[in-house]
Parts: sequence; structure tokens; C-alpha cells
Amino acid sequence: MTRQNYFWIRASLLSLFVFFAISLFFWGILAYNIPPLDGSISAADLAQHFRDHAARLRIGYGVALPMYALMLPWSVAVFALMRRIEGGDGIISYIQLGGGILTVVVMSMGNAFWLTAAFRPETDPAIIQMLYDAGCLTVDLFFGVTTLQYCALALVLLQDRAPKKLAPKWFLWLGFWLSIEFMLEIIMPHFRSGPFSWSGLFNYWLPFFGPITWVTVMTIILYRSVHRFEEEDRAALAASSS
Amino acid sequence: MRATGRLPGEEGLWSFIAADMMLFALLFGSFLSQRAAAPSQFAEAQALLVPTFAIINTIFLLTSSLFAALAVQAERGSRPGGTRLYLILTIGLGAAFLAAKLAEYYHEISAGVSPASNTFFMFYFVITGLHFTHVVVGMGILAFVGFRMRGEVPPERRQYLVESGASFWHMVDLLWLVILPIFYLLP
Repeated sequence: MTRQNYFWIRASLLSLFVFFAISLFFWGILAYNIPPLDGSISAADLAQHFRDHAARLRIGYGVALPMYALMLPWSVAVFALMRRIEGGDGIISYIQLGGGILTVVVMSMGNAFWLTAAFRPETDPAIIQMLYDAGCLTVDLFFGVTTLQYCALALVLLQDRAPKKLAPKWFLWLGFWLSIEFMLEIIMPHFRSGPFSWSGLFNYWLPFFGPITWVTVMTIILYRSVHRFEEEDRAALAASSS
Repeated sequence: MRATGRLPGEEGLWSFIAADMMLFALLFGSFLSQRAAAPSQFAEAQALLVPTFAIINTIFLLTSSLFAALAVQAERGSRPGGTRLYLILTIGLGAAFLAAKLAEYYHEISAGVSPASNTFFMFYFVITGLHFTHVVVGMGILAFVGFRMRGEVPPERRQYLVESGASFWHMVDLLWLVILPIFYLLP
């Protein structure tokens, strides 16, 4: 790879943090998602919430929605680094890439439902509630693509044969666990209140902050790994020249 | 081949196990805090459970763990031979546990109970359902271990595989030993 390639890989990895910052402010704070609305909120109260805060919600969701695209360069940069490790005809890197692309689509779709509710908040409260529920169910139940993405990433890094591994095994296995832990979302549609509802401990806070923390640390690890690949390229070039 | 001062099996698996146990600890803690807030409601719901099922399942799981431990010992050389038989017995008892658990669920659902009945049964079905999934996964891991041990496999690799599978299985058993008292035995 050229110096320019590595520059774009680094920049693409850092795009995740830009996405996090934008999402935290616009989706999390402006759009009232951190903390989330209670899962047991009635249609009337929900519609009133959307009417009272329509402008703010439109700004929050309206900015957050297109910014999900910033997760895409991250997935592609990770793919490029995974290919260096996996090599040959390996396909696991492609699973990560596919999962990453679909995660962008899924998260964007969920936000689109919420933005639609904020677009015409004077609509029938039952419709507002259905749009809100559609957003929650979409974001929560499409976890499979993200599970595959993170599992693929951990799997390839476990195959790293370099003397100094990119990441410790325990961290990668924790990644496996966090991505599989999403499966608890399967029970979310059965509960409208309590710890297993959309806003509950087990189906909001844990699957939200756990993987985000892991991905943040993983991004730092991968950012630092770029230097290793640059050194490998220089050594290979020097060997072929001599 | 004797065990040395190290984590048995795959080291990384232990962070998986630790995270899993922390999740269950959170679940158990949530259940107990809800129970403390509504003790009589929880006692009424608990009375609808049939302890016989729990006793049978405890016997199945504890015995299966014994066989898993014997499989590890066989690979470590203390009881040479028989690893595959012990793994088969472990998986068989796991299947027996699942069958008994399904029978119990059928009995409860036939009696009109569901996760939506009340908070007790919400936690009961979620936690035991999650545990059920872990038993299935554990059986799959042990079956994979048995499959991978066919043919010429170096002794260190065999020990690594069996210890990894057994470690996960013992976690599944340990979780049941907490589920049993908090759902069936606590007054």
C-alpha cells in the first residue's frame, strides 16, 4: 500500500469518532434518546412529546440520519486491515464488510421512521406510535448484521500470526460475547415495559454501551496497527530491492 | 499429561465466560430486587412451579458435569481412554435436561402461565430460556470437540479442546445452581 492508502485508512478509522460525537449530540441529546423514552409510554403521551419538541427532534434525527454513513469508511478501513491479516482467498473479511454496510442501512432506516414521526407530529397518535415502534424494532432486531460484523472482525484478528498480536485474545473473545449478547433483543418485542423492553437495562443500555466501548478500543488498536503494516511494507520493499 | 498453573482450555474463552456470568448476575440481581419489592406476589407465582422438574434437572446437569470432568481427567492422563464416551454421556444428559425443561414449560403454559403473566414469570421465562440456549450451545461445543478429536490429534490439542468444552459446560451447570434456589427454593 502507498502512503496515501494508509492516510485514508487512518482517516477512515477516525471517522467513527466523528460519527460518535455527532450521534451523541444530535441523536442522543437533541432527539431525547439518552436516556430513552420509557417503553411503556402511551400513544397520546408519545404524540404530545413529538408535538412539543418537533423542531428539536427534526434537527436531531435529521442530522443524525445522514451521518450514519460515517460508519461506512470505518468498515472499509477495517476490511482493508483484515485482508492484510487474513490474506489469500479468505472470506471472513468480506463478512465484516457486508455486515458493516448493512448496519449503516439498518440504523439509517430506524432513524428514518423517527424523523417521519417528527415531520408531521400533528398526525394521529396511533400512527406516531407505530412509526416510533417501527424505528425501535428496526434498530433493535436487525442486530444480526452487526453480530456477524463484529464476530468476523474478532475471528480474523484471532488468526493474527505476528509475534506481537494486534489485540489480546481476551479482548477479542469479549467482542464475540458482546456481539452475541445482542441476541437478547429477540425477546424485546414481547415486553413494552421493564428491563427487557426497548428502553430497559438489557435491551438498551447493555447492548448500546457495551459494543460501543469495545468498538472504540478496537478502533484505537487498529489505528495503531497501521504503523505495523507500514513497517512490514518497508521491510518487504527493502528485501526485494536487495 | 498433568495440568499446570494455567487457565484450562482456550484462555480467551474465560473472558467470554466471565462476561456471560456477569450478565446472569445482572439478571439475578434484577430479579431479586423486584422480588424484594413484591414478595407476596412472587411467592404466589413461585407456588405454581413444580419443584420435581427442578430436582430432576439438577440431577441431570450435575451428573453431566461429572462426566465432563471425567472427560478432562481422561485427557490429562489420570483415567486413560474413554474421553469420547464421557463427552457423549455429557451431551446425552444435556439433552435429557432440555427434554425435561420443555416438559416443564409445556406444563406451565398449559396451566395458563406465560412471560406476560407477571414479573416473576417474566424473569423466569427469560432467565431459564437464556439458560436453555446456553445448554444447547454447550452441547454443540462438546459435539464439536468430539468431532475434532477424531483421527490423529496431538495430545496437547486434545486436552485444549476438551478443557475448553468442559469449562463452558461447567459454567452452564453453575448458572443452574443459582437458578434453582432463586426460582424454586427461596421462601
